Amino acid sequence: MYHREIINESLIKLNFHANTKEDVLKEIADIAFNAKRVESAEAYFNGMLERERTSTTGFGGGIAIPHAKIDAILKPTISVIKLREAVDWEAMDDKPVQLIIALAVPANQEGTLHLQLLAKLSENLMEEKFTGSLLSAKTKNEIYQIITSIFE
Amino acid sequence: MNIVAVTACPAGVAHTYMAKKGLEKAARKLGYKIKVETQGSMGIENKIEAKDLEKADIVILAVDTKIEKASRFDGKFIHEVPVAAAVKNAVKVIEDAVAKL
Repeated sequence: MYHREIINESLIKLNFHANTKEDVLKEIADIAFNAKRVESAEAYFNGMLERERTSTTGFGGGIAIPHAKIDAILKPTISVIKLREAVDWEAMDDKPVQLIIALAVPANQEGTLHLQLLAKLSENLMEEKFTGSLLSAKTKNEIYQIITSIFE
Repeated sequence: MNIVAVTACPAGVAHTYMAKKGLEKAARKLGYKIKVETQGSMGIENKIEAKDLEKADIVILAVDTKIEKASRFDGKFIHEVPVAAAVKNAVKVIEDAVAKL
């Protein structure tokens, strides 16, 4: 049941048009802010941007996993954006990114349950079967079901 | 071949666990035994103990941050790479380590 708190369909956006990685990160921050998951969209945006500067979160195969662990985040959150056209993410395989799975974690997150879900999601992103089904998903509900199925 | 590894990244949210999975899959593919300890946001998990180290031929550190209890590995053959290397191509990380041994 806990996964209902970490992702829902209001945190999933399909067919989003973006020109740059920054456009995408801004949208992710706005989605999280509108869903009352973060105190400040700007702080979440800056947190993700800072993380990207350390090393790209575009791990290949057209998928990126931007994330931030900062004070301004209120609840552990997964949000998903699928782009209409892929954007450059300076990815590990130099391929543009079309699917973005963003994570938000409060800096003082205590208790491991939600962190375990995020770790499990991260591990699953190394499985082509999992990433393939996310890439080919057509609806918000499909994406929600695919992600939450690994938490069962 | 017995491998032990530690993965760690600054946030400890995503890449630590992706690198763990990457190394486990790569070791299976190459026919090696591996135990991967994660040092992430949940602290140390699947900890490498003295008995694991005794059997280990190689220590792989896929880390972007200072790890805890690093002195355990003193005197062992250590191959250190950025955590991203184990996410991108863990087979290469293991092959490089074995080639250097």
